[in-house]
Amino acid sequence: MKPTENIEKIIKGLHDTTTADMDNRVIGDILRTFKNQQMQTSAASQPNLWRIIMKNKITKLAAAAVIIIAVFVSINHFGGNLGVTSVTWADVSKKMDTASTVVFSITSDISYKGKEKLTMSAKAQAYTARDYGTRVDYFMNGELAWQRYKLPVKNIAYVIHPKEKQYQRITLSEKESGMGQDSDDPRQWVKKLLSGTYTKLGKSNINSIEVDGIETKDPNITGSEDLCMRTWADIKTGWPVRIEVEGPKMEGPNKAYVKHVMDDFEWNVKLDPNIFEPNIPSDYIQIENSQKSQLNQTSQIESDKGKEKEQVKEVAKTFFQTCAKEDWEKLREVLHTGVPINEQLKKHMGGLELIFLGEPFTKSGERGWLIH
Amino acid sequence: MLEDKMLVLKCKYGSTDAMCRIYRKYKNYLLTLANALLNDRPAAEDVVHDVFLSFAESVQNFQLRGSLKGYLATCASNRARDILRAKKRHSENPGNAEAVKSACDNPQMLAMEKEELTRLRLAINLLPYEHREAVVLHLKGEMKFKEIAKLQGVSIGTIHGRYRTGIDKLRSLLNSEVAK
Repeated sequence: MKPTENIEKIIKGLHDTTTADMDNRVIGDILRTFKNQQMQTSAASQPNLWRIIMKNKITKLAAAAVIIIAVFVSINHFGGNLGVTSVTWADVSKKMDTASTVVFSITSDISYKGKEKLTMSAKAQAYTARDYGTRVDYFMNGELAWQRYKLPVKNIAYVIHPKEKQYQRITLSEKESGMGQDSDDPRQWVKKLLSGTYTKLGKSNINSIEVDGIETKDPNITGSEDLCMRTWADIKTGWPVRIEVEGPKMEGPNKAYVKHVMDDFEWNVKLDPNIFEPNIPSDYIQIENSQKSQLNQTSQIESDKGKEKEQVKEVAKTFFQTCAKEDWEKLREVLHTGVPINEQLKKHMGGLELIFLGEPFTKSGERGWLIH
Repeated sequence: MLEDKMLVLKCKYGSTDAMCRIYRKYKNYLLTLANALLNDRPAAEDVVHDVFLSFAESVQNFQLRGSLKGYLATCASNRARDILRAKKRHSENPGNAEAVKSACDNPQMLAMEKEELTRLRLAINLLPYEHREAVVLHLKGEMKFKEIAKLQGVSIGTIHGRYRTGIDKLRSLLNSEVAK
């Protein structure tokens, strides 16, 4: 036992915690009683109160003044919705910053508009922890298609293709390892959205949760003129409920309509550090990265124009050569995609040949290359 | 304080969410208080249950004059006192020393709590209820002597005395425990 002088301190340190069982039992009883009580009293008590107010001249005037002020304040602060608050977006971002971990789902749908409509969809489960990094498991047709680990602490990223028993090991640059550089982290998406001008979407309902939304089409934020980025947050809790990116975009050589949705967020959940260990089986083969990591494609754009022109020529030549040879593994490397080339794409691209490679041009904000 | 007033107001207007928030905010605080006063976990859980149930019943006409925390602590203390009285009436009064012995011998209890806290709880349980209430409500309940005096219906001076005596008794009880 500690010296008895500490008695006061020890008593202050006493702490009991309720069990989930007790919580359920008590809350159930409280709410039942509370509702019963309300049903009994609500009908009778309110008219009486109003009558008391209306009996006296002063209280009558005061009541009128209170109503006017309440209406004015509601219209100004809550956009006309009496009694319903809206989300303070700066607080949402701050709240997200305090979270040490987040687990969420990603749904990606890409549809290519051509002679034949082609759609691809993937679902993913993502884990982000401030102390470890991120892990995203992508599933296509219910099967694990590929996994992506980004571990800034170790300056390494892995892309694993279980079906092919292959993996890529990518050393992250200082910039890629830095804070706020992770495209798989929903916090960065919300920050990005809030960093520019955005439009308020007002209130909506997602899975019975009352939400408030904002969106932006600012190309400086979305990275493309027609893309739209939206975020919805729970009005009651202030946590994001859904983050969406939607619109037409160049996916590889094709124009596609993309829709990425992040939802089912669980914040501050306890995550096992082993989740962030790639544990690549010994029979998996390491494949080389022909270009810089697909995790940071944007850095390529920063290279000087002359160099870029040459690079594009090279990539275009390689692309068509691989299409002509129908070398789909090589094509995947050229396109920097972890998604296996499916049969429909193979049908479209198989046998394509490059006859003439012209000059670059820009139309409707999209950069293109004249090819025959 | 302001948050509590808003929650009570929302409860008056029928918000079940506000009611749940009040429960979540004060459940552990009240359970700790009740358990310190009774040294009986199931009875302490009953106290918390009864306090919130009675709050839910009366919230429509409830007027919050002081702090909600203080109000709930007072309710918990009153309920704990009722339970103790009922226990005394229905039991053969097994005696405090016996209670200490049986609880000390209970390996489950010793395993669940740190030894130090267990001894302290047992020692608190040996204090006369008025002294125990003064010590627990002031230290753990963060209630002022004035509030405790109002609750017990005595002067502040008496509460000061009960608190001091309570602490001194705890000291001697724990010292004798160590000496053993």
